[in-house]
Amino acid sequence: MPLISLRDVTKSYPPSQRGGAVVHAVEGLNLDIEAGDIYGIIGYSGAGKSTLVRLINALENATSGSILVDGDEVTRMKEGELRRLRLGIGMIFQQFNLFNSKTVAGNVAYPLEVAKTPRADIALRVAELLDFVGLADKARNYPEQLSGGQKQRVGIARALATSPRILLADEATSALDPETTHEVLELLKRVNTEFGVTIVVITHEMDVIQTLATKVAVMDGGRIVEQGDVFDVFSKPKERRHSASCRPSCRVFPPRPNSSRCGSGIRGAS
Amino acid sequence: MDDLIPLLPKLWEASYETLYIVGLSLIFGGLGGLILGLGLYTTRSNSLFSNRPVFGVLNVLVNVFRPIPFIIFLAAAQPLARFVTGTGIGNTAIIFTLSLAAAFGISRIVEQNLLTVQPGVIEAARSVGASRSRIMLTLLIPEALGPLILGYTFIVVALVDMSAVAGYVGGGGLGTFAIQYGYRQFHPVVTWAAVLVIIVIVQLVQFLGNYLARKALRR
Repeated sequence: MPLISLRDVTKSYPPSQRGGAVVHAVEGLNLDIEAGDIYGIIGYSGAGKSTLVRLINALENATSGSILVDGDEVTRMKEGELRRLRLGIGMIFQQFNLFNSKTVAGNVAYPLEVAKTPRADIALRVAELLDFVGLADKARNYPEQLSGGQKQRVGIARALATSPRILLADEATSALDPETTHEVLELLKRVNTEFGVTIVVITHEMDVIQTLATKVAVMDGGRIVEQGDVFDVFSKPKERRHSASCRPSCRVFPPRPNSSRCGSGIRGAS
Repeated sequence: MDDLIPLLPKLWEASYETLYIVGLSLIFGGLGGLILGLGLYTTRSNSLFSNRPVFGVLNVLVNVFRPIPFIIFLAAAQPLARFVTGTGIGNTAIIFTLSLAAAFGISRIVEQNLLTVQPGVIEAARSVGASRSRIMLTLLIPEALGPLILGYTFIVVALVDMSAVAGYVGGGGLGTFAIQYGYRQFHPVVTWAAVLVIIVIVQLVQFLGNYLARKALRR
């Protein structure tokens, strides 16, 4: 059974203006994510990726459909159950969203305090996590004293504090330069291999999918237009539209003579 | 100067009364304003306890009471002061009315400063399973602490200003002193002495506020 399973999920927002149309951020979406996967979800901005990932930990409530996480129906959970669910799902963000009023150690400790972990265990766990992300010497620093890459590593340590089975990464490297991006992606890979954490990666960057993901879904207009293993999807794109988003990868994938992927992408965009 | 010297004990007493009125009003009004401000912030749309009707009521309530000039509010709320505190005159009555008026003003300052906290930070706290009340108490207020301290400093200065009309309902303090012994008895030096003390109080409060805010903001 998949670890995360979405069936016919729709998330609609009421019109922003009177008489406007209802916005369907996610529409009739089906998705299965197996335990241990690093599942990439790629698409243009506005495709519904960020909404989708927030449906999994119920930061957003689905309008209709079924969302199973580890066999439990998320859409029917009450506030208290949702809090327990979220202890088992870490999340990292594009803008890091660290707590500026807390030190690095305080940030990592926060989820453990929420989980009512004994104080002595918190200290041990925080030290362990900061060691894992390579920031043991920054424990007493405040977020504004860190670089972007360091902030995201604190974000990762915080997200992993309660030993979740799932990590949601919402454009986690989009605010970072290429080199730092690479460091963070390597770290996420280790999170997957060393702790067996299932990772859902939301991104608009092909490189991220290519470096990190094992499976990929392409989103457009609130739907998944294609999904499968990373290589299959990007070597034989079914739709011209998203082959344009494959274009940046032409710098990365060596183009093959009889491959249509890059050619059609460029033609499709022009 | 000769007019002032015999009045010095009264000046110190008046200074003490001003500090007493302002101090207690800051505690009661500050607490009331914090609760009201948290109410305004958390019930607005897309916030922790989004609730349109509650927000609407709070919003209108604050808008109705906040702009009333304090001297009029003092007179208008006298029956309420008498009902709650047992007296409509003197320092106790003015502390009650001042706290009430200040709470409405402070609520806006609290609301504004809480709005400076990035929504993403709140989302991060929700994503680790923190309850909404925990977020409010352990995260929202610490994250906005620096600006909140500056806001409250601003309010203390406003309270010193508002407390100066205490004399109208038989209260004491520097305002009463300046009018009664200075203005009404044609002793400008006495009035200026009260002004000087007020300036000193305000400066000290502002320095303290800036210092605490700097500590909270670490810059």
